[in-house]
Amino acid sequence: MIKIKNLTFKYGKRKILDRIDCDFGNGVLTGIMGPNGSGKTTLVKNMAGILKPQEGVIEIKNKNLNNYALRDFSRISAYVPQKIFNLPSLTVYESVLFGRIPFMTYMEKDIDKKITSDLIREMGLSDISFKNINEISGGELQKTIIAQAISKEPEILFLDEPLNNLDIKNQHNIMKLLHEMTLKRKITIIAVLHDLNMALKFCDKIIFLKNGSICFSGKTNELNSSIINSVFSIECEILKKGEKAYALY
Amino acid sequence: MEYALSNKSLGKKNAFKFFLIAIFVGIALISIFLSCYNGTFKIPIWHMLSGNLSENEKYIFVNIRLLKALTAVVAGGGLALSGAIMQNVLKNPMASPFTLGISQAAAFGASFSIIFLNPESSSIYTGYLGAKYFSLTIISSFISALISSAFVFFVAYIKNGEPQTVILSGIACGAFFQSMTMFIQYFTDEIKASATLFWTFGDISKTSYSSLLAITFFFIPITAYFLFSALKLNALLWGREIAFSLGVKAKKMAIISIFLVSALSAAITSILGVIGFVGLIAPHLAKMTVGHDNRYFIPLSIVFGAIVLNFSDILSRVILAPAIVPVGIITSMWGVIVLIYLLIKKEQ
Repeated sequence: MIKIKNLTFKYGKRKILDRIDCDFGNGVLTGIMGPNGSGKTTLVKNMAGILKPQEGVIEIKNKNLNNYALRDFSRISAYVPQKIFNLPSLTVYESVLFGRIPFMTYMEKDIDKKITSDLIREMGLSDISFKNINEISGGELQKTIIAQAISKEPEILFLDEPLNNLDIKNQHNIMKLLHEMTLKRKITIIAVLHDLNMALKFCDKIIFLKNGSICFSGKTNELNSSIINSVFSIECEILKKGEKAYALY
Repeated sequence: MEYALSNKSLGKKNAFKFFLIAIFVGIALISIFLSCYNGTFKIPIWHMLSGNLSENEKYIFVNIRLLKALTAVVAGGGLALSGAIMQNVLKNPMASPFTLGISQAAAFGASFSIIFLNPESSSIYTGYLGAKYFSLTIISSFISALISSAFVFFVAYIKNGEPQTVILSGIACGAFFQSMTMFIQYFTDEIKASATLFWTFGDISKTSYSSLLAITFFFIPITAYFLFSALKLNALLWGREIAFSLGVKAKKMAIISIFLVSALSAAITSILGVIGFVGLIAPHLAKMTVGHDNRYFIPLSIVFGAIVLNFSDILSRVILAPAIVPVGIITSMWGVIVLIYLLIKKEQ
């Protein structure tokens, strides 16, 4: 689905990403992890087209990202940022509906309303669908933003730290939901994560970044403690119980 | 809950918003009638409706009352649109033509013209300028407001439309033009200084049919552009990154928007003077009524702007009748009260 070749990105003279090569398969949930400042957000923003790399090529569905018209790209991909400042005065329903903007001409059609209503039910937001988003909890807001991204039924979903400010239950629910979306809808999901155990439990693939370079890229079950030690400089142990793995640090 | 999310109930909600807009359009039309009726000389409404006007009534109706009412509708709508778009694009509820320094720049342009381009103080003794110098003052004021807009536009361009930087540069620009106005006022004679002061009182009485045409020339295409761009503006509400993900180039949209509403508010302010708070209050009222969806928010802001300015103008004629108070004073007086009320209500 996504192929990155020799990607280099700089802010001024400061190199943030250094000759990145990687690919992301169809319907795979990939967690991008690494220490603060390692270039995780920059990598995702490059893939989402928000930032333009100085060198290298990003191919999405075998087509160079630069060759996509913005409207076409917006119909196949969605991006969920780390944080949204100054929330507008909109209801949960309107917020999710506006994810359909790339498909709308002016007023919403029945198909837009149906997708929005179904998604709100699926995400468990029915009870608050007509509440102002400024009056809902952090977890509900995060679900609303993710629902907005999914409402255009994208093939690729980029999420930058989607578990921020969420309690354990909501973190678990959102990761479960993302995992189910890769299975049910075959969406390729790329999420910047910090919780190693969540990544071990739900991701199919993990990429570790350090100082703008990839240290590890592989299936979750290929991850071992020495890789984690070298990336984060901490003592860590991977415990395996059946098919599940847990990180102890 | 199934019912709450059914297409039928959603359709009803949209229909209700359209219904609300239609009601307020009706109120705006009533305000035009009331404006034509009210004043020292009353024109009975049935005379207006039947067209059975005496010579005096006809003169006052056509050349004063209707002209003022239509100017209030277009200027009020234009100022409200400018405020609504600025608040949207800059993601700041306090954004208005005043915040971006456009009003102060227009005041400087007018003061510059009155002080340096008018040959005789006697022609401006009463504060009213002769037709030739009045046009000169409008042009000078418009150019000055455009220079201020161009500066804000330039900052928006080099800072990628970053809201806080744009607002701070607007405030700085406003402070600069305000100090320049005071500087030239300090060194001029009393008559010209009082004339410049008089100009800053926003007043619909300054209008003429050519002025109304000039404001409408800016108002209609700019309004049409924003009404058609309502969905793009909805994407912009979520910030640059989500806007991009929804297929909207936020920087381009922000820069075009700032340029257009700056030009619109410059045109209005240069002709009528500084009319504060309409650009701030009307969008707030609209947001409280229909929320932030620009497909409803923009038209309702325009309608509220028209209503607010028209009723303020009526009030300015009756509050100290037969004297007429400049409408800018009235809008600022009750604008402050409404704004504080809204802020307290929001906090609660």
